[in-house]
Amino acid sequence: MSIESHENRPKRVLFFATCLVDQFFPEVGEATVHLLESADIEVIFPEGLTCCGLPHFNNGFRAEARKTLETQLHLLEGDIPIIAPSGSCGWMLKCVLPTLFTDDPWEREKAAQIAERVIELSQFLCQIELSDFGSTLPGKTAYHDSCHLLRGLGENQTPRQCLDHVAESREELPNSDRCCGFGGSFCVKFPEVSCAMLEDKINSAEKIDATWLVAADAGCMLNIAGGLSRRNSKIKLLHLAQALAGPNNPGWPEEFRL
Amino acid sequence: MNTTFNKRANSALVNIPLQEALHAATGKFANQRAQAFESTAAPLALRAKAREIRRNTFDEIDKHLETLFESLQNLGVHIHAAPDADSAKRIVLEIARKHGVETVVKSKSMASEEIHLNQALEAAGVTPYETDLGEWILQLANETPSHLVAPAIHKTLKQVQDLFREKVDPNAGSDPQELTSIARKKLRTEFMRAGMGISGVNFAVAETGTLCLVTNEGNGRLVTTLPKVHVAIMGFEKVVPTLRDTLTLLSVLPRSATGQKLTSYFTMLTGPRRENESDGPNEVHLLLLDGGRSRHLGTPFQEAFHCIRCGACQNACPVFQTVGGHTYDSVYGGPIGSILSPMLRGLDVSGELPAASSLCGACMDACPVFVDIPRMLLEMREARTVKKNNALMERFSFRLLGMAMRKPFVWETGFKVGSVFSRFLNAKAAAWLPGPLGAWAQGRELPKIAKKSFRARWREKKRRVADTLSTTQEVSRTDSPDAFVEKTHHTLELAHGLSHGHFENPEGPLPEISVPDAAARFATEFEAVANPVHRPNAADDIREYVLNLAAKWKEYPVAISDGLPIDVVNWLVEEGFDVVSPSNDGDNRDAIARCGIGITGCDWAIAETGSIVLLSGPGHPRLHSLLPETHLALIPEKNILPHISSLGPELERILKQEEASPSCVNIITGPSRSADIALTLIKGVHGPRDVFAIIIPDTLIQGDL
Repeated sequence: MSIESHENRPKRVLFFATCLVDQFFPEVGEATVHLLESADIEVIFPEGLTCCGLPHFNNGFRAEARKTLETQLHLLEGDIPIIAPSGSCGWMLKCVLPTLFTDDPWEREKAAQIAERVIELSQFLCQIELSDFGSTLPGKTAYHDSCHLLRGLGENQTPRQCLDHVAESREELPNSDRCCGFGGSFCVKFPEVSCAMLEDKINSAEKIDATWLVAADAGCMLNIAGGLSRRNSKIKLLHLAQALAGPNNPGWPEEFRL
Repeated sequence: MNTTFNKRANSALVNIPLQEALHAATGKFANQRAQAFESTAAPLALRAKAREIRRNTFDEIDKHLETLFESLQNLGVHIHAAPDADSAKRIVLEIARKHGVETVVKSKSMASEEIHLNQALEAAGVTPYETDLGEWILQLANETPSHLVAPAIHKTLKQVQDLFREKVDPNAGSDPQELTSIARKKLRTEFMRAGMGISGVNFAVAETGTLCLVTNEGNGRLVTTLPKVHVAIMGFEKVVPTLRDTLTLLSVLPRSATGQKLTSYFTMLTGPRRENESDGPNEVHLLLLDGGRSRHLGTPFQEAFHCIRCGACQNACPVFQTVGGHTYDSVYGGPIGSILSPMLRGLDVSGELPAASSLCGACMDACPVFVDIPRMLLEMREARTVKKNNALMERFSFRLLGMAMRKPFVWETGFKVGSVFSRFLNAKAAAWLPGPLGAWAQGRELPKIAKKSFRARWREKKRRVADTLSTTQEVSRTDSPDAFVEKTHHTLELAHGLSHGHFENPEGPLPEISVPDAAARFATEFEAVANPVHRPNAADDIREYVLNLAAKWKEYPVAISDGLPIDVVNWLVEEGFDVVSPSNDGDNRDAIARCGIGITGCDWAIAETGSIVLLSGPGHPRLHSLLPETHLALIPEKNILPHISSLGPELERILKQEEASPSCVNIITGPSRSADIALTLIKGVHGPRDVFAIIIPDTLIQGDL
């Protein structure tokens, strides 16, 4: 990876690891840190961060979401970019956060400034024009559009652009923009419907015989991983950060070691 | 977790024919929608314009309603306002009683479904006939619609055939065309004798009092033409301020619904039939149903009224695709239904619907007017919490979760404990558990909480976190004036709350596709939906063409409108055809119904859609282009307009004049059609099976049209 200095590259970023990555997919966090540090960017991870409040907001507990965020706002203040390896948490911080404080001018301004700095991982990597990831992903890669990255943040290009730098071959997943059935509490409130949607998603990946199914959100991963192992599918699931960091690099899943 | 939605969903999931029908139908509609918008010059700008129209309408809905009422009163339309279903039903029954009505024909109306009108009519001894093919099938089966535009998509061909054999004709075959013919014959009789027609409304144009219907089968035209009394039922959300706005919305509605540029019929009804017109109802009533609507004006749910009922969100929704409309147990299913149903029926009845969404946002993507359904689903979930309408356990769990999130130490410890448990719990065992774990484990292995969290790994990696934030370099920041304006704008926007989507309102006039040769374009588009267009060089060509066409219906009379651009009557009379002319004294429906061909002129044609526009008036009955199996339109070349929007000024001129405005304007695009039986396209459901057109060059035109 090139170490020359890039003007458009910040020296330092704040990593919003997200609660799911923290507790269920710590490797994704490691892969993200690896990607950023290899690009000569210092990563800061404030340990006091827990959750962006999206589970509460999306389930109709706005006051709870606000309280949770209120306790963390001071950790997010500053002027460096805030990187989220997730479309949904990115959407929560970028689009929802400021709307939660509309009745409090001081907090609202703070929140708006934070929101402005939030950027999803693949968007950030494209913004700094990182093209040399120093790794190759063998086999066939297919990308699943995570709903909140696709429609919340309106992004379907940057994950594909990034993957095209590392994938030996990338094929479009049929109906890649169709929800995998996770939807937070939806997947446990309506398990049969959710599982039927999940089955469609896995069928699409199997139909094109993908080696790697890549998602950009730990929420989708939680759901898809559960379905893949229940079916004993040979499809291997990666987070975008893991796919980009590359095989056997930090954050690469032990079970997929090449 | 055994909610009623889940119970219904589970029976839908194991209903194989339903699953097949759902996938076929929703997939087909969604594909056709995408294709249909490609034929516009700027699909996003068009949709953004449509959204703007809807937004502006509801910013001043009171004013527009006032205008609408005034226009309708000037036309002599009776207006009734019903606060609830019961009073709406009473009003309809009263009108029926006053006219001694025994049978009623109905075209599709979601508002009448909302109030369960059919049951009320039956109870009062009035027989209602649903005449939309899909709705009629459902009436026979005693079921409710499962989709906004394709009410019977859940029924297979075999089920329809069995139903027809049991209820209509024991010898009914299995061909959709044959089944449709049976329906046509049976319902035609009912149309001819019904005392009252009941329809919904797609758009109610405030400035002219015009009630518009968007249909394919032609039943909407028959319902609003043959019975003496027409009752239209709608909620206030159907109001559109102007004719031009209406044409813009018309450009997105059929495209979003069925993927057609235009449906077969766009019918604009402006008051009862005029004294010099031979057909149309003598009395028109508009029933405005509130039914829980007005309480939502000025609330976060007002935007749900922007919906134009195209069904695109249903086709795009992965949940709807999986479980179908009946699972929602409401007249309005799918994403928009998950907002409308609790709005109209209350959270106690439909409160769980807003939760039955994965919030993927595909609905808003597909919506022609970008209704922010995801935002309103969130608002509705919030309302449930505030009103304590969701489960106590749910509220308790989320509060507990919130408390843990705000104490990083508790949060981390909680997961550490969970991590130990998760190692001992396998999915097979978990599937027996109640609550979320059991639900998860039904079709998925349980996720393992990491033995070592990311934060633990981070701590091990380096310990330089504590003071990093304070070491951020202080940069002196200057904002450009533009950035300042941008910031101000953004702050104001925040005050309006969350908005999904990334669409800008268009500035200036909408771009249109280029139509260099209107006649050629008309012919191409017409032929795509109907029959070959004849483009004659001499009057003799026309004579030969008309006589050849008429010869196919040799035993039948020909219905001919007055004032045609070229005189075909003499040719036909010379060849011994029986000619039915417009009557001066009421409609001669029986005579016209016996005709094989109806020949009309054409007031305008639209090149980009291949449509024929016909105005009602003396000598121009509505029925000539409707009752016979074949319709021939003689189109003066000079009457061909390039775009739908070009019709705006013409309609304004015609419908805004005090005197002699037509009671009915039809935009006809191809034959009467339906795909209500097993998605098979059938022509000639209630109206003509074939539509032919002759483009008459200016040099050959004889009279004044």
